Amino acid sequence: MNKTVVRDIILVGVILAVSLSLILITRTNAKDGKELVITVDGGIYGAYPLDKDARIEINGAEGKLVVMIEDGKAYVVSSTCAGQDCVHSKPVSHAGERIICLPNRVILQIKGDNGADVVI
Amino acid sequence: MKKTKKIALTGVLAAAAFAFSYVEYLIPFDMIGVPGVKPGFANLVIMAALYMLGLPYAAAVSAVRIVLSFLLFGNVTSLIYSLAGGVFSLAVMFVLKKLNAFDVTGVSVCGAVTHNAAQICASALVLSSGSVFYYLPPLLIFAVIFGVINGVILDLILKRVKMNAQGR
Repeated sequence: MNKTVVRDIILVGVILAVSLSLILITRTNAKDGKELVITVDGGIYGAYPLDKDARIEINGAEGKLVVMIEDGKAYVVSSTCAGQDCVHSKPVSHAGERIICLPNRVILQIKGDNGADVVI
Repeated sequence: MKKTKKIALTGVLAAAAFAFSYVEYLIPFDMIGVPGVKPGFANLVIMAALYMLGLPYAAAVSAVRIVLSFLLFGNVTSLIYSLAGGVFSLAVMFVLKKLNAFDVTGVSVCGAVTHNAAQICASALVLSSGSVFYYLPPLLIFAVIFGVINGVILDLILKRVKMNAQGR
């Protein structure tokens, strides 16, 4: 086999191994979250306990974002952004999990009960 | 290849790259669950320009694609991400091709990985937060998958084009 083809295979193997182990490290020992921390444009917008159902309206960089907390899970109901990636994101409930709306510069992140969250 | 033929081919490739961008814009890849996953067929065309014509022509194809996408379905923020991805991935692919470090598929994978990494870095700057790096590992897995697919397709195209040129 050609030398460059061997390097290609090693390259693919290394990137896959590193990415998969990073995903496993961050997600397997994720504890249940305690609160949802919302950041808008780099500043803390508010923290909301996950055990209390709530409907939160956020004024993002481009428009309004509506977030729901239901049965210990948080998700985006609607957003004025073009991509709608945040609305299609799966509900988050474990420490470290997050939903990001890039156009609105809104970050929803789940925190555990202490500072021991895995953060990358 | 004559210069006029090269320029004509650049135009055709620019149109193809833009058409792929538009198709990718129309097809949502939301069901995968990772925001921002795209097959990157436009990069396949830019790589074809890099291998068949050279860096200046590939840069021209990439620039036309980015400007047209921005004018027709983008905004200033999306332009920042396109530029970050386009400039850095082409630079990395050019250097790796020059060094002969990898085969076409490896160069394609590195281009896809760089494209994602550069866009995540750009979004971290826009958000002034490192939270977005959370999405990098899953994005890189898709970058490798589509990078390999595009690389294999390009390898086949380049072999056919070569045969075609020799047959004349």
